Parts: sequence; C-alpha cells; structure tokens
Amino acid sequence: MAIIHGLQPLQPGLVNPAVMLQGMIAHGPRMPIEVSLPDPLIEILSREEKPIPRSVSGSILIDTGAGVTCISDRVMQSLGIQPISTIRMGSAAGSNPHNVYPSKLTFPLANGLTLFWLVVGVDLSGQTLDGQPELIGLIGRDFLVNTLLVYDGTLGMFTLALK
Amino acid sequence: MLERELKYFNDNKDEYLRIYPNMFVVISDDKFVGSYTTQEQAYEAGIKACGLKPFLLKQVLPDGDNTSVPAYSLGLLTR
Repeated sequence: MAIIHGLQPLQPGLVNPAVMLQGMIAHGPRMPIEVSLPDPLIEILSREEKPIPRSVSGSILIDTGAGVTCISDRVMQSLGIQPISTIRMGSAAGSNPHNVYPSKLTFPLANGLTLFWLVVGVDLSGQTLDGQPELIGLIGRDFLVNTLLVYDGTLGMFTLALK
Repeated sequence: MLERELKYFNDNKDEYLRIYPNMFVVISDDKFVGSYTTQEQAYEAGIKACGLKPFLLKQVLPDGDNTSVPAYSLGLLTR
C-alpha cells in the first residue's frame, strides 16, 4: 500500500501550522502529479522510432465531488495521446462530450508510484493560483474508490492511502 | 473521431450489458476486439491489435456515458 501525506503549501520543508491551515483552506488537498504516455504506447512509439513526448508535471486536486479523474486537455494534447472514448459531462447549461484518454499517472509523494488510468480531458486554463504549481487535474471518485482518504482540517493535512 | 466505433458500441450495447457487464471492451472500426477485466488490460489489447490506429475502449455500464464534475463545470476551482 502506498501512502501520501499532503499538506499545503506544497513546498517541502515548510511546516508552519498556521500556514498549513490557511493553505488548505485556500488551495484544498493538492499533491504533485506527473502525467505521461502509457507504457504500451511508449513501446510502440519506440519500436517505430517515433519521438516520445516528455511527461508533464503539475499539481492535482482531490475532488470528492468529481465522478471521474480529469486531466487538462492542454496536457493530453502536448503528450500527443489519442482519445479512446468520449463521455458526457453535465453542467448548468446541459451536457457536453469530453474526450477520454489513456494515461500514466506518477505520484512523487508515493515514492514514484505509477498507475495506468483513463482520464477525462477538461479545460483547466485560468485555474492556476499565484505561487502554486499549475493545477493540471482532478482526482475523482473513480480513483478514490481504491483509496482511504483522511482529511484533517484541524491540522491542514490529508492522507491518501492507495491499495 | 471514433464515431464509427461509438455507433457500433451503442448498436450492440444491450448485448454487451448482458454478456460483459462492468467489463472493458475494445472496438476498432466495426470490429469487436475483446472484453477485459481491467482498463489497463483492455488498453494493452487495443494497442496490440490496432497499433497507433485509433480504437474505442469503453466500460460496459448501464449509464456509462454521463458523469459530473460540479466544481469544474460550475467554474468553482479558483477562489
């Protein structure tokens, strides 16, 4: 089992209770994430001697309100990954189709744990806060179903244990 | 993109719900590639069968075409 202990702000070494509390209120349970091509796709690109785009790093927000895990469309397009499906996402104005992509997610705070995951492409432009790593995704309940999440608002910390 | 595969999936969805409930199916053009227990197994099979050619990977769920991400949809992610 991999365990992620998260606190805000994300800068390592800064453990100030007041800052952690305010950081968690302002930014929520975020953690670093790296998004890259799934291994089977890397293998086939290597075999065909095609370029392999570099992984993209940023932060991801745990969102218990989200039904699915989402990654910025900009990130998925920069990786050159083809969608493998679509899904409709509801909003106040109706529902719109969004692309679903295969991806490899790496969690630096969990000793580099990597997982293959299907993610929904969303437009997260304009969601970056000053001084914070760019928000490139949302962890949804399709992912959280395999985890134990403890959110400690009193300390401004969270723990995510992955099966 | 994937219109042909999505049409094929929707045309056969009732049968898939009966035979492959909750499983992941892979479809290329109008050909059923296979059904798999995990999304990772399905993707590996799709890449093996289709290479870099686009293919559809879909979980067989009664209401698998809709989801909601309220904080995103309502533009609430930035304070």
